[in-house]
Amino acid sequence: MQQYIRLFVEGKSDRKFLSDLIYCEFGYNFPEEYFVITGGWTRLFERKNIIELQRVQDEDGVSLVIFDADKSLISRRNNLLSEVKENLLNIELFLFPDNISSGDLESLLLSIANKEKHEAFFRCFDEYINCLQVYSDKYEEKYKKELSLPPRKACVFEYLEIHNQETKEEKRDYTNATYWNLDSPHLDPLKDFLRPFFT
Amino acid sequence: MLAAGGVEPEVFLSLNKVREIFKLDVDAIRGFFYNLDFQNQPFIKSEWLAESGETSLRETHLVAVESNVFPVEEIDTGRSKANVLIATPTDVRVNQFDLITKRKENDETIVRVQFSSSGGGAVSVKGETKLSEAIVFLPSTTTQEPTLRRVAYLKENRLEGPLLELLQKIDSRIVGIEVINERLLVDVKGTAKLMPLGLLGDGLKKAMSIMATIIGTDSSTIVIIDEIENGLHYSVHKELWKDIITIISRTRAQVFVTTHNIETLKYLQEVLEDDVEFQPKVRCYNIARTKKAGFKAYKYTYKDFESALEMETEIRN
Repeated sequence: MQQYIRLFVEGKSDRKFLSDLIYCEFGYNFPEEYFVITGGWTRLFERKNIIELQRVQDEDGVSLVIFDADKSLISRRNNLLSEVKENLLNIELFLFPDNISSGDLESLLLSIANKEKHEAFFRCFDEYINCLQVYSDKYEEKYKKELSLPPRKACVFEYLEIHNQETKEEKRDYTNATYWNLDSPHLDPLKDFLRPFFT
Repeated sequence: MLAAGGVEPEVFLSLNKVREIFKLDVDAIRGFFYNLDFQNQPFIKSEWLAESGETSLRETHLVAVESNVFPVEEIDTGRSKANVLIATPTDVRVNQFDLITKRKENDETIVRVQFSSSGGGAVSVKGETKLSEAIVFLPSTTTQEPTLRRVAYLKENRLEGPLLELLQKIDSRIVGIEVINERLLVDVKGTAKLMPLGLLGDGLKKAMSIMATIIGTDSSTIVIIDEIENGLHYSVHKELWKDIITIISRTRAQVFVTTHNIETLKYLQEVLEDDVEFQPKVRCYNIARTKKAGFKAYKYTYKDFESALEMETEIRN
């Protein structure tokens, strides 16, 4: 990799997942210090991160920004790109899970979990989600928006914990094929996004 | 360093000494020009704060000259009036370099330093100059002679208190510092005689060199500390940062510190976090050689600096 690349992510979990994916797919060990953790999408435009984005431009490099789409991919994309323009910066943006749908890293992780092997776990967790849905339906209307459903982070955590796998976000091993399928077609949009910069 | 050299030419000579370049010839001069190319002329804008509280803008140029005529003729370059008979990188006819500091408001030359490159190392200064102690460069490895001189000054003026306190935090057995017959001696509890500084650790020598300099500063002083962490025990870092900031808050000296060490930066951040009054007094700069914009300094305020360390953003490359 000759080009100066910095990968801006929201947290350590994103860094570890992307680091594993880049290594498996492109055979490249992208150093930790080339990631810039922002601590959330709204913090991309804190001065410290603007300095990093400016530095990339001074190096004639590329700033890859990979954030969660969350509830609305379109509004997240528009918000980010308008601020980028306002600050006279350039970025390449990808929003989890697939740059098309709403969702987040966990949505993508759950779509690449090895469900064939661990079908029973996911059936069990689906029942748990249904149960929580009933709980949510009965929840007082004015407080309903405070509930976060479905609990995707908890599902990924449980999936690993119950199988005695490392649960800490920055230490998880996404290259372990028993639990994760990095050949899943769900990853194609992300791989297509990364490919020009890592091959 | 260039702006500092604009008032105190000795800075250039001492910087070369640190680089272990002792002659002042063409090759020694080349080191001050980016990519060793005389055509890349350094140009620094700086803001100077006078005792009166007024600020003035200054521009400092370093230009290579190929004429044997002394002084050389001034030519208007468009950017400033300077002598610009520029040599090519391979052109050994360059035999002089001039450091010109001008007041931006009226283009008046404040200091003009002419360095002869004939090997003689002659330096001619025109204009205002400051005291030779105005700019102090502390290299990464300490030497005893300047420390001795500075400690003697502190003793004479009864200013050694903060120095002794810091040394006692490093080694609680130390009860005094003495300068006797051009030797720096330390009074260590339980020893039969005063102990030469050289027998104590590198960390103590380093801390003493820094503190002895900082305590003796005033508002016209600039101190440049290179690789502050060298030789220092990790437990001393926080105390040293605290002392440096406390003292310069009082003396209003300006201190530039360089480091590549992340621990050093983390200790600084902890000190700033503990005392909000310190926070606006310190700025962190990442000096980088970039592909498109050349050399560039990226400024981090306390908040940016804290956030960079918290998020593990690499600010040292």
